[in-house]
Amino acid sequence: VDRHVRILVIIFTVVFLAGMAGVLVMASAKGPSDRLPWDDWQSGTDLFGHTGIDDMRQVEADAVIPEEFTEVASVGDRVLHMDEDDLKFILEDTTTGYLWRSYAPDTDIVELNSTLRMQYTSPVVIEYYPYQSQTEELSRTTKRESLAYTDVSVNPISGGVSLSISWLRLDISLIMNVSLDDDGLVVTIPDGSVTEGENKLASVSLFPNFASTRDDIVPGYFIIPDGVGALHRFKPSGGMESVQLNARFYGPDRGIILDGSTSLSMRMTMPVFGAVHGTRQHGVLGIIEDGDAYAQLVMAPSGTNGLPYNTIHTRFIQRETFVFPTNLKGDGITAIQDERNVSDMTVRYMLSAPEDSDYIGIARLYRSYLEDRDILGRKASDSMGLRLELLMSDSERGLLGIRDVRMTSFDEASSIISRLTDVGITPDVILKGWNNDGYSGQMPYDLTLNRALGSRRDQNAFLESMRDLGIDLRFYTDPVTTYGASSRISTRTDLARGLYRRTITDMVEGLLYTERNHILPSVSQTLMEEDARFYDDLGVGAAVDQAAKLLFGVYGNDGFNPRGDSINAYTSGLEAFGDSGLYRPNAYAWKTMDAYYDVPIHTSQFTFYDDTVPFLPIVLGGAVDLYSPLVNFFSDPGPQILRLIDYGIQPSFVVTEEASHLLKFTAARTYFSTSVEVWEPVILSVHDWMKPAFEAVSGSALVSRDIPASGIVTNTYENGVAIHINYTDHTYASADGDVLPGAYLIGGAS
Amino acid sequence: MMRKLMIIVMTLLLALITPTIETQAGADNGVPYLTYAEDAYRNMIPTQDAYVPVEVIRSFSGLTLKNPEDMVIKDGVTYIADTGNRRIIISDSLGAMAFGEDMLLRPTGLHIDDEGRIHVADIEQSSVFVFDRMGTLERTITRPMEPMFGQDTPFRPYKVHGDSGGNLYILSEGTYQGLIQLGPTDEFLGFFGANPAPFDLRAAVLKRIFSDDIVENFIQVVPQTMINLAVDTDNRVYTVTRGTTGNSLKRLNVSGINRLPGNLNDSDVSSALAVGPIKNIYTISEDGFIREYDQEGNLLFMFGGKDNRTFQQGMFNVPSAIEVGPSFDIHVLDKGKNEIQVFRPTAFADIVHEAVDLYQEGKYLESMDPWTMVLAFNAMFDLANKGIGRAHYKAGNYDEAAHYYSIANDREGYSDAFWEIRNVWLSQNLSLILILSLILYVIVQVQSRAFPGLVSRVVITPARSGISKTPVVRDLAFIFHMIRHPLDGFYEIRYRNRIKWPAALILYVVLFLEYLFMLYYEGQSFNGRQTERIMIGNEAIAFLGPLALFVIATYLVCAVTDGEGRLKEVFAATIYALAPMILFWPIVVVLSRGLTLNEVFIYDALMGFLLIWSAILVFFSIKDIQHYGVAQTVKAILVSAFTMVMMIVTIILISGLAEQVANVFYELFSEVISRG
Repeated sequence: VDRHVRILVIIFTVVFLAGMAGVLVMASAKGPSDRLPWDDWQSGTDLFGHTGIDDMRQVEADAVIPEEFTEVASVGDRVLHMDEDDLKFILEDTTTGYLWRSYAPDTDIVELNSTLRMQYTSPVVIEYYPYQSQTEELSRTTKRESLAYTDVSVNPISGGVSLSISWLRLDISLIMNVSLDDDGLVVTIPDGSVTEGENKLASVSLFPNFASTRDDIVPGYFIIPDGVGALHRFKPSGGMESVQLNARFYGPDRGIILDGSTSLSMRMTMPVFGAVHGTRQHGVLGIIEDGDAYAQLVMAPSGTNGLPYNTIHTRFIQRETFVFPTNLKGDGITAIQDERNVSDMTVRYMLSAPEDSDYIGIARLYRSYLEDRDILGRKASDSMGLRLELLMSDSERGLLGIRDVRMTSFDEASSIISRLTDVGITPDVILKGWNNDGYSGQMPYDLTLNRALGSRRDQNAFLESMRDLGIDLRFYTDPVTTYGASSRISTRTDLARGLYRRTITDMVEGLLYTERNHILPSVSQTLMEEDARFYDDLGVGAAVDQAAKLLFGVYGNDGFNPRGDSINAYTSGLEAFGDSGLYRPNAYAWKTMDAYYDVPIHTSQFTFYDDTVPFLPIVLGGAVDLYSPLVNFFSDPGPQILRLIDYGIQPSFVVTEEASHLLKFTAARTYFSTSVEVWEPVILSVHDWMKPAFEAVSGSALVSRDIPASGIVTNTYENGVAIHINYTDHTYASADGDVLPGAYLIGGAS
Repeated sequence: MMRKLMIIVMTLLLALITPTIETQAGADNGVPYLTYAEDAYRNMIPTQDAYVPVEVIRSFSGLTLKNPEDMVIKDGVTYIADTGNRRIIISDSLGAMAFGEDMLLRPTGLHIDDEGRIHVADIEQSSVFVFDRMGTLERTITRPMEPMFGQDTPFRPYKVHGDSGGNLYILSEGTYQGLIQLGPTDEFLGFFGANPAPFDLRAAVLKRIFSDDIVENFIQVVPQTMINLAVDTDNRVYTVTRGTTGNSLKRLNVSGINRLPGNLNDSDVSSALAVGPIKNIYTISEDGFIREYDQEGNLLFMFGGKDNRTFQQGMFNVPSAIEVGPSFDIHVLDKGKNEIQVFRPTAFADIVHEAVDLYQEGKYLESMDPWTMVLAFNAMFDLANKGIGRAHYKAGNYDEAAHYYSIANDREGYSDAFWEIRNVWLSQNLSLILILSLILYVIVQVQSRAFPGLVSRVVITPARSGISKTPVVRDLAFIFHMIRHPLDGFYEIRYRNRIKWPAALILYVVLFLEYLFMLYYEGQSFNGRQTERIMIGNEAIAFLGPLALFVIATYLVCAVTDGEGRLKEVFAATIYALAPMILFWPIVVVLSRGLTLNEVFIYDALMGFLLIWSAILVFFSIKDIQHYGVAQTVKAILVSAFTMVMMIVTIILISGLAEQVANVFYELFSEVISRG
């Protein structure tokens, strides 16, 4: 028996060795090298969301001021007239004689009933939650009221008038000041002037009909700051019913909306809107100066309510309804916010000069407004750069606890970067996942470099070499959202709760983490201050995500703090970094920004939009470095990179040393194409392709952007250079020569 | 109960496939949705956007739509069943015309045959009208007169399609026997491709007792009816069904058998489908998601979403029809928004299509380049790994084939590649193996003849004496005794108090570790697990839970049926009865790494042998520990099994109740907060 056992043992040993050998053979099997994607990426067409051809008709305006109007104030070329009986205003531009009215045109021709007529002429419209005496509750359905049954008194103030308006039946009153100053017309409702009785205000719309037009009688468009910028051109409604666009500036408020998965829409990051009446004839820029955190842009194309009017205005939300969940699943009752959002409501209207009356001129008008207030200065770098994000590590679930997934070590990072500087590319470098547990691990990041990425000496060598190469190095940080695993916060006291009394939580798909929470703004501020000290010590900059992007109200021991109160915490926190790179920041955070990451290059694709225009790049270009979203995830690289040239946005890439499929089970699974082996040649060729365009116009601003034919753009710059861009699939013959399909041509007086 | 369980399982599955919010990696392709593909395990993975919305069509030379139900695009001409306006619209680049206002009541289905004849299914008039290309009525198809059709079968044509042979397939509302198939002269050929009737336990039992007719009179077992159909250029019929997932999309062969797998990543509210230029299948569901599958039913892309009157391009309100043009341009008819949305494929989608096309045509080597490009775009696109694996296999690069197959979790492919690798390895190393075995054999022989007892003197005896000093180790070593003398072993456990708690516990842990070893290291030809998803807690419950239940149940059952065993003895005897598993399982697992699917019977036989051996020992453990006869043991085992089931049910009930109670308190609490 023993001998048989021995033979068995031998057989097993042999088999075991064979098995091990097999395993080794498997392990050494290596994949072929990945090849460069899209060899022909410069081709391809893009007929998707481009800029259309302008209607160049002259506006036939009635320049006669009706006799019921009296002059109220005049500053420079602007004169304010008012009809005291109907509370109508006219802003006169004396250089052109054009009249901007606060009321809809042709209300006599369009047959309106008295309610609608009131609504389309009133300078203010309120919505309120009616008090129901039977149930002793507020109705959840709002009612709208313009100036019916009101008691109005008009008092002169410096530069204009002050209207004191009382809705007698509703027991609601407010004071609205309309005045001129050097920069234009200012319409404001001081917060202290608002009083309410049992009926509670839901919203206040200021100058709801200012700059409105009928059908396409006036050629022109509205400018909507959605994504990169969108236009709605005036069209006849053609009998079709339209709906209006209600879009919240700075995105939806997660402190009020329980379900975060509602929309992937791009956000409106700038509190502005515009109207052009006749291209290069008359234009107005509206800027929301106060109450922007609660403001909503309302744009109604002709056909809304069955009426032929195009209107655009700002609605200031006073109270919102929210879902108060009463079971674990999240079903609940609809409730109304108790306290009003406390803030002044101010909209400034600035008129543009005739030659600047298009979206370019209006963008530049906004830019000069920001420059006057020291929010923007001219400081962007003149040469073409690119943003290179290095994903260093992330973590996935191990059998026991968390396992590091190392993607790029410090040594590998320096080698990748030096290979680029060797060929003359100086990237703006952002390290992601530099900390323990990597990109998603322990947000907010614990302030130690991940030792798996190299020893202390490797780290120092890396930082040293970045300084030697003159690289602008930044560390990625997200001080606002957390997976709750960080030692730097307490999930008991530091998480933000919404008005619905629950933590503000997003469900995320992943094995390691299933939900992501939001941190209290005050805690975020402290985290940023700590981060700033750590970064200063290392001698690196910050690339801050979310802090300038997300804005939400929080429910605390003292009740609900609406989101306007959070802005201050974020901006002070950002100031601690000095100048930093920000991911898609809202305008209130622009003061400390010196690089803008993920500049949107599209809009939210609302069907109201006719054109996509580079409004945002014109506002910011030359003042801050603009970097595109990650080119890695472009699905139409050719046309999309062409768009970057058109808009003057520098490209961005993310790379890792290791193959990207290793990230599959990490929270960074959305980074599905990062391998440097694949992307290095792409970075080089994209850079080489874009560089001539950037160098030709380096440091000079865009003067005009013409659309000679559908899908063709000719950008002319201050220095006389013209760049022709061909998005179509056929060759275009420009004044400077043929522009190949999907390519660009530099021309003009260079 | 069964149905409830099914619903729960379905809900869980749905929860798995319903995408939750993703942190976007900073992509910006200008679309209001994220695009997903599936990995080898049919889990959703994010991917580059495959289609972008380019156009919205609301008016056709001034004609607008009202609740349109169907659309066909053929040779550049768009045909729309403008249901709400009771007409058919024909539109091409030159203009548009409408006809049928005076005749149609509720046109819901459209089919254009190769001669340009327009077939219109009018559900309200229970007819299919056939018009010529100018809109003149040619003939009307009404309810088939053939007796085979059945007297009570309803004929309410909702959708109609035809193949190139002139056959028509009519989807009739309420006709659960299948599609109504008509020949070229409108003769009734039979029903086609019915969904199988769901299994109904009640009916099945009653049918054993009564005749089928009687039972069917009061228990209606009706298969789910299809909601839409399509026919491809090879005359294969495709259908979509609502209310079911995994198999809601079917591709039927000539005999009406579904040739697509039953575990598709699909929707249970599909509305319409279309077959694309490379026979890829597109579906659109009521919740606004477009899904594209390859011919094997792999989900290539999923995108879109519900437009709750936000009017974003790329989202849908109530999509009713989908058509795919020759350049993969997707047209979707939306009866809620009364418009057609047009999407075009992105550069990424073009490459995927090129690769899929070559792959489906069997041009594996040629598909290598596009697949590699796909992988460069998205390193997690497993279909590309599979395609590249196939190409390498074809090219004879078996190592690389195995590598890619293993990433793609294609076990058959991997097994084939591994077979080749092993073949090469064996042919190169067979002589070496033989020589090594010979040398080993000689050494053993020499040792046992020349120095008998050397091993036992040098290794075994000192080891034994060492073992005997520590009781735990002695207990553990008892396992070798168990293998050879199991009955004796149980006797010692029962009457000599041979085994203490610690040793038995250690062996349970060892067995669990061996189980984990199996999960991770089983040969890849057999192991389809995603090791990253293994959670130690779940595995412990799944593996040790039943064992613990078994021990407790047998102990309790035996304690009340004159058993003599104590808990410790049952506990110890059970794990020692599993000695064959403990000793040989890892070896079998290692062995499996050298096997391919061709030798799966070896693996199965070895595992079966171990399990049966262990089961026999478990049987004897109960018999001997409890001092039972055979009959009594069998009875005890059966009762224990029943007890285990009841224990599981109780646990589920209690945990469910606890959750309910928690929820009640939560609701009470939040009510108080919200009111006060």
